[in-house]
Amino acid sequence: MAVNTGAPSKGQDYVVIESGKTTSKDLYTKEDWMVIWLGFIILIVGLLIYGLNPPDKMQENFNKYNTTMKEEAAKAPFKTMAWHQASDAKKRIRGRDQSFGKTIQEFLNAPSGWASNPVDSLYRSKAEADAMNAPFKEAAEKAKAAQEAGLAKAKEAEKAAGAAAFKNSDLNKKAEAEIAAWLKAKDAASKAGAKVGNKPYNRLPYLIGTAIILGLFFGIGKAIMGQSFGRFFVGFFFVFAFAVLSYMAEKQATMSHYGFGFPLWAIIFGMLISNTVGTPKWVMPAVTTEYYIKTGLVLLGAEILFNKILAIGKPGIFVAWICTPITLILTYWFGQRIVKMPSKTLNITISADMSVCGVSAAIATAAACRAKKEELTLAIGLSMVFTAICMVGQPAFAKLVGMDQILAGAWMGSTIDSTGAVAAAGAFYGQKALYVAATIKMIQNILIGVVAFCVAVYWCARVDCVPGQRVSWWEIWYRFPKFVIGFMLASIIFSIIDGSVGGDYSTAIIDQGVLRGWSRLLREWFFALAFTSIGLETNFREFGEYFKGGKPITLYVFGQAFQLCLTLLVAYIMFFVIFPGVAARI
Amino acid sequence: MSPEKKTVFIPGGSRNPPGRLKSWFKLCIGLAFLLFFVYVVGPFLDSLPGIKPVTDFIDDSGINAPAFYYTGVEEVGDAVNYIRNSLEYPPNGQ
Repeated sequence: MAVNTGAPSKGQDYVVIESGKTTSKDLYTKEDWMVIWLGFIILIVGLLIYGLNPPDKMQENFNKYNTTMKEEAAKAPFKTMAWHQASDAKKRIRGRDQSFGKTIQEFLNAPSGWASNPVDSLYRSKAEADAMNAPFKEAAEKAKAAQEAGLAKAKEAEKAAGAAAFKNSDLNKKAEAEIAAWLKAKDAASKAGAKVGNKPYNRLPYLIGTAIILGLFFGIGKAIMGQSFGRFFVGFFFVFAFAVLSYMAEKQATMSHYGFGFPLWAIIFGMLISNTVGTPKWVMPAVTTEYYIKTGLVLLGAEILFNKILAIGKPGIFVAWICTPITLILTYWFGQRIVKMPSKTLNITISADMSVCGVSAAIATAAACRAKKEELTLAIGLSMVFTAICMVGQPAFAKLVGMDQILAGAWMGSTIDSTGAVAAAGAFYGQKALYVAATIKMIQNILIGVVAFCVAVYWCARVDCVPGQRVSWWEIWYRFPKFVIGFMLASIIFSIIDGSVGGDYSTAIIDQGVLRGWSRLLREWFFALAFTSIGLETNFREFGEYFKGGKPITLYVFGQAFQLCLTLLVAYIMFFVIFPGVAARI
Repeated sequence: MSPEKKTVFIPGGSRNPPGRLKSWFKLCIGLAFLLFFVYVVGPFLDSLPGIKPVTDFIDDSGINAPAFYYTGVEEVGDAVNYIRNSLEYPPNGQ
């Protein structure tokens, strides 16, 4: 049985390991502490870059747009054109859209999308970009003209409603419908515009630059811990090259719309090498799954902003924060008692992955309970397959039964694993469904901080000990994966900053600056390196043991079926029975 | 009873020449399988009824479907902005 006893003998089998007692020397020699320093260096640099350089007249513009929305909201019983324009203008105030933010993203962005030739993801000439734009120019012009026509009609209808002091319900309804049509035309014009916006690029110099910087960054950390910088640095380029390949596979048009992301490809490519020609010996010093994954998790901590759980009011908290833990606990119980899963760590990793938010929850939980690499791989594979099925199936079911957009959004947001797939399914169903689905998913994303912390404590106090043994608090501290402290600390510090600077400022500087324009890009590279490392040291044959009797699939299907039913019921009660006002405002 | 034989996994792969050749052959088979999946299985799935409208929509909308956390999806930022404004500045009477 593959139960992790907390004192693993084969170090490379586990996602994370922590053993022995803590001394002050650990602060710079132990990996768990080193990743906290590395993670916080990145976060501090990000705060300095974006915090010291806010967009021009940011606060002035926020005040202006908020005043407009307030005045417009008081004027009419529907969202006027000026209200929408002010709301739209607010979202375009973003730290990462400044020139230095764009340069950072140019370095750290993943390779670009492609359809048939993989080279297109790294290089595109001007002639190719022009050729890509040409077939869509006419459609883009038509969409722009339709947007302008929609704008004129909406203006006229709103003017007529305004002339009646917004007291005539027929005129109000007409104005509301014309505004909705204009917004739709605007969205279509924006999408058509994107199709003629292809530009030439050469990603190679940036990728080489990123590889050197990340190699130095992690290599220095290794050197401080007393390991060889040179051997790590040389091997790092091999691991990085496979991380690039995994991103390229994700960006292939067909694989991308099914949601098969880089974690899956990184593991597949890594395993393909390690199980055939073998991972070269000189690469092995850089095949350090834990080092990359734990640093990435510290950065992920900063993205867990607790104030966001109120983003859609009380119904959102009930749907995302009540249904999810119930599903998680019940699925884990079902796995232990009924399915009799071969490993507790596999059980909790799949349960968290399925009930919380897919890959990110799987990574955080697997690291917190010290799951084996094969277990994490299996959980991610299952999640990606079921995510693709749910992304197509759930909007189809909602359409079949004529589900309300708000209800469908809440249901999809809480039950489809990955956020990208949630946005895709929600948007396919409708604009309001997208807004609710994406917001509910974000609230659920925040839950992984609590889940990871609780799992880490539970494993130290209850699972990793002899039956009947009482574990002292000191013992729990010794066993506790220390990087979780960095993960939680990053979350708490960023939540405090987020809460203290105010919603608009935080959105522009923290969410749309430090996080999306800096730490998220690095965190994804770290996860890509971690998953490549997992593949490069994983034996394909070991998966057979976990698949015996199809237990992981049974567990996943049970948990997902329960979550689909529970969430639908709770979302209906919350949005349409207890808090109908929230649904009406959206 | 003879002891059970157990294969030991060596990430470094086989060292003897025939073994190396076999390893490269396995790698080629693996790559061929992946290419088959990307260029044949994927497009075939796209052609199935019920799936095509969703995949076409995702391609058109440019949504980053593989993104697994909210910070990787542009639409989440837009949604949060819209919902916050809707709840903070609800039109008169809502």
